[in-house]
Amino acid sequence: MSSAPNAGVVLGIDLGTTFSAMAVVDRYGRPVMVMNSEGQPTTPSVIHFYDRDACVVGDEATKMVVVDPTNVVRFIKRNMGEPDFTLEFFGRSYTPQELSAITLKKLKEDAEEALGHPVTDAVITVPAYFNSARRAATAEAGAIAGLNVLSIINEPTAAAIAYGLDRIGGSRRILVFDLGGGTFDVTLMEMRGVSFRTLASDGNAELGGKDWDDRLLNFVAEQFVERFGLDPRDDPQPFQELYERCLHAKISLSTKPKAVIPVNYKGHRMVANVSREEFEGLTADLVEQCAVTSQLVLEKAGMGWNDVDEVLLVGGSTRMPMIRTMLDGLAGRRVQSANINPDECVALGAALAGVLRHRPEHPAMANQRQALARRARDGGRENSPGSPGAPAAEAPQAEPAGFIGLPPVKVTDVTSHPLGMIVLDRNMNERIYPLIPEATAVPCEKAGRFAYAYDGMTAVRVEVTEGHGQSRDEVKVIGDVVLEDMPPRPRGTPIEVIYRYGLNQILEIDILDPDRKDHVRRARIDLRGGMSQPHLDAARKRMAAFQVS
Amino acid sequence: MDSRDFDEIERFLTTVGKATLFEYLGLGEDVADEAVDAALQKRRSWAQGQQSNPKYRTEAIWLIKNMGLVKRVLVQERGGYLGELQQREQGRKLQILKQYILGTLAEGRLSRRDKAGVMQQARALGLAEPLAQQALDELAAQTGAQAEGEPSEVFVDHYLTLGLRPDADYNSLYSSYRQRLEQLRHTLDRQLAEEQRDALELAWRVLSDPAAREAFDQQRRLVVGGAAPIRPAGLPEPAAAGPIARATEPAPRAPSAPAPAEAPSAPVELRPKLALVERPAEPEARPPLPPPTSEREALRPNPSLGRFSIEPAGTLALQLGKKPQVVELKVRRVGTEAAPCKLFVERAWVSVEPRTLSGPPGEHTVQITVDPSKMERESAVAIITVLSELTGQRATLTLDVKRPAPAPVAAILMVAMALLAVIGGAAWWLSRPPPPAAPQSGVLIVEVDPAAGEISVNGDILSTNGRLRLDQGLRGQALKIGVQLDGFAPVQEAVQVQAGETLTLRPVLELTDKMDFIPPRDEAPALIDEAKARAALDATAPAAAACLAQHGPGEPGATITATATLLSTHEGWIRSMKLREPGLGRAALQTCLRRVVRATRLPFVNGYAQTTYTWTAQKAPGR
Ligand SMILES: Nc1ncnc2c1ncn2[C@@H]1O[C@H](COP(=O)(O)OP(=O)(O)OP(=O)(O)O)[C@@H](O)[C@H]1O
Ligand SMILES: [Mg+2]
Repeated sequence: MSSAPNAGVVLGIDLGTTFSAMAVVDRYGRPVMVMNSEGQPTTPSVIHFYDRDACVVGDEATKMVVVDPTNVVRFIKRNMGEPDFTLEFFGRSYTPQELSAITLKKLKEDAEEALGHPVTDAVITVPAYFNSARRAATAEAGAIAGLNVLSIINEPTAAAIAYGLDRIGGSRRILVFDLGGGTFDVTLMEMRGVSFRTLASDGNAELGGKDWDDRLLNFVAEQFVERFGLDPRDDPQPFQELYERCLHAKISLSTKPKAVIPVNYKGHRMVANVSREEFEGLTADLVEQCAVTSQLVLEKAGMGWNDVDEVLLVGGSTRMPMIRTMLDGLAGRRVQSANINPDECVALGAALAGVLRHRPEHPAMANQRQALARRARDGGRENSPGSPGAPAAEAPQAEPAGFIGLPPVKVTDVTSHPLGMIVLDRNMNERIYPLIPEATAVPCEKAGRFAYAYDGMTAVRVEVTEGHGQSRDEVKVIGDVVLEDMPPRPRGTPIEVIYRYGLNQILEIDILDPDRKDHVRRARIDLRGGMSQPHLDAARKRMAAFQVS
Repeated sequence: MDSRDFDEIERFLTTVGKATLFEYLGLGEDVADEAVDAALQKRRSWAQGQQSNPKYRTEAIWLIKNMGLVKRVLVQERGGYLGELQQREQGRKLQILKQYILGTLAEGRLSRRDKAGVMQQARALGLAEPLAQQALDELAAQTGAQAEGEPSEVFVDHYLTLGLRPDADYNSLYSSYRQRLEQLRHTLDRQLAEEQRDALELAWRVLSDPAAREAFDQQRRLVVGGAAPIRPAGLPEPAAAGPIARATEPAPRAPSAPAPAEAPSAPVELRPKLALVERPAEPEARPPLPPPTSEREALRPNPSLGRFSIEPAGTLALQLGKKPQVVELKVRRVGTEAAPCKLFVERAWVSVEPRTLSGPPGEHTVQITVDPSKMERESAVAIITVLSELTGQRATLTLDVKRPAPAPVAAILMVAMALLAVIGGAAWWLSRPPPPAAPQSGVLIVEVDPAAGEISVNGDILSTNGRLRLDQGLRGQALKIGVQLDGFAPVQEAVQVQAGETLTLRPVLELTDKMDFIPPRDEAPALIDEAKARAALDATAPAAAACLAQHGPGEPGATITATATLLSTHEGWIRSMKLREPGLGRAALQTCLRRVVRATRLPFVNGYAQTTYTWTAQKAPGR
């Protein structure tokens, strides 16, 4: 990059359903949280519009939920990537990308204030189970906010990096159990030597703490209806008030056996008492969903709980005792829970991943190279270059213990959904041919052998599909290209098609000439999809003028 | 307007319990466009405030996403929307009328009073008479019910007895009467001749008397429906009578009746073997619904008509693959619209769509989706209950579901790789022993050599260990058997196993892996759990011993020892093998042993790992 003093800074951003957070890597290679302008490490992902193109983000906005519910945006992550979803404030409509961009803009500006220099490069995290449309929308949000999004990485991967980086060298399997505000992910990761690999992953992009809140809310509201024949959910304002109370009750039930929820609606009062057992009864099926998914991930990897060395609990909702009890029950033992902060590790890991992947010139990386060189000079008394425990002993006094820069790490993200194409079988019926399976390490390249379907055809149509399924209706067609100028050949002539999928989310499709293998026809599909460049520029310009405080 | 748009709106309106968008927004149908805008704006801001409210989430999100559609329909396409609403409303009323008609026809007859009742009902519903008449004709034709003169007596068409048109003159009446009497003399069956003579005599008595003929004609018009007042304009002359009689056989009372061309009014006194849509299982048929006095009354259900049957019923055995499978359940509802059915299932891995069957009776298709990934066990049972809340009738379908043990991730990858790949190099041996004594289902046995790999039948992976036995439901259907094993060329074979027959397939897989894998230099070798590796490799001993016995060096009976250095990759597959003993370099032996180890997986050795293993065997006697 350039020689600007802060060119190496990569902001790691955890763009959460309910809370967002950011971190950077300092010059010693340590990831540190960046505080927002309120002095907090996490910022509620809540926006309140108080005027045309003017809004507040964070704590202030949360307070306005009760007062002005129709002008507050919350949980927008759940609608990312939905084409028809727009919200309107003061006569302007906003897409989910633009709304997320507003949150990102606040984070960016706060980071610049805290760090004292401009920040543009960022790595943003998404749930592993997000499909390409949702990922694309997230990247777009970053671009609109004026960030240069270096990559979109999976939240569990980020968490595992944050956890595992100073434990590198050994070999262990980590189950990352991430239950946040709106999404749920289970990922089995393997740290081996210096490489991080995802073995299996599953989840639900629409299950999170919010669902627990809703259960409690419905429970209390129905009691009220029974008592007074009135439903506090019927008006936005009383609903929001009750929601806030239920949210707090839920959080206090994590530590206390009982909670009280006062309800006040149209002159009627009621105090609902909820015990932890009752709450657990109300949400047993949600916990069951989490359990089934966890079990499934292990099954997919062909492993059992004994093969899991550590369980990494990520996301605020894992603080609920019922989740821990469930995991203990599944494992048949007390699961060892890694000692990390569930609210911060995703952002920390994102910052680390940004440097490891995109900043070989980062001072912390340079330190590491020096340390390696020094060790080589000293006669290689230390064994493998990947074991970091040892170099700490050699660390010069000036550097903080525990780190000498960042070790050379290989981080592998995987595809969240299979990529394939629509082909014809021998009876000329359409079917889906999966070329890149789910959970394939990215970047990846897969080839498939096919044949001419018609005599003398001169063009090949490749309809790229995403998702599991046998027929067109079960999958999503995310790209459609026609490669022309094929030499006419009889039906059955073999041809080879190659899919190459990179970290930039661009899919390259190569078709090899049946006669000359070195002659390739190539098409590119940008799976980030979505907005065209002019649209993006317009949105970015609009956002730049936008007042976020 | 686009009917898909309309359907989308209808779906939404049913969830909120409103009939039209106007009703939903509290607007009149002639409201000004600006008022529509204002109402929509208000509703949108309500939706934005309530989109996270669990009670209104679905409604709010639908509105947010479909604001454009709603606005277009209410402003630009209002005329089309109202027209469509009216048309559907008429369709709905027609359905109610049809229920009523079916109730009336339940006895298989249509009396004059019945018909008057139908018309009265149509008027109460606000339906035009021609429409009602058309519905009546259709249903009568479908059910095979026919009109009759009076509820108590069978109507006999005297014109038909004489084989004449209703407008025949006195002379033709007489000559036909005489002619037919004459013919009867040649009839051998005395009793039949007697009956027919009576019929001819009666016909002549009635039709030769002008006053009696006039009265008969009037009665006939009512029954056969040929009269002008209730026939829809523009329909061809015999249309009303035609459909009613279509389902009948020739009339025994008029055996010599001339061709239909000469007898436009077909016989009506017959009682065919009629099937009213589907008869309830109840033994006694209830009388038809009495003519109602208002629409409300017409809607009151007759319990004997709110019945249903399901197909399939009983127990259904399902062998699943990895993918969710959809089973279709047909529920045939008979009787009235007001008797909906509900479906219940208490298994998280089974979902039923739709869960309520309502609306006009008929056949409904229910999609039952069984998701094997959500099953806790390899085999389980789910019971789907269909319940009619009106009549309390209940039927169940039991699903007996089995799913394969989960396959390792790497193996899933292989399935995809080979589907369309060119197949070759595999030998299949088929042996068909004589069928066993009691032929039920055929038996299919697949034994892969080497003993590992995934076996799929018609795309579903049913085995992951190279062995498969199917002994249920095989009755000659086409099966596509595929075998996949990492490192070997996949094979596919189409077979049919007849009932009672046993078919054994022993595909011999061709090794395609060169077994020359070299681990990357920059990656440290993984630690290997020697005990686990040993246990896995012990399983190779019999097959390896066979290789050594057959291809190894030395005299028969000599002991051969082979020590191999093995390298495995990330997935735990052994990708390289080197024999330490220099005397064992023979190609055939190498190939044989490589096939054995390549098919062996070291469980949980996820990395580039190295291990050694020693086999011993006795050289076999020479061939
Ligand atoms: N002590 C607690 N007990 C129960 N729930 C809690 C507790 N603390 C936080 N939560 C819940 O955790 C959720 C927020 O977690 P987190 O900040 O990890 O989610 P997120 O990153 O915003 O969402 P996601 O990762 O799904 O996008 C909220 O639903 C919150 O109510
Ligand atoms: Mg999160």
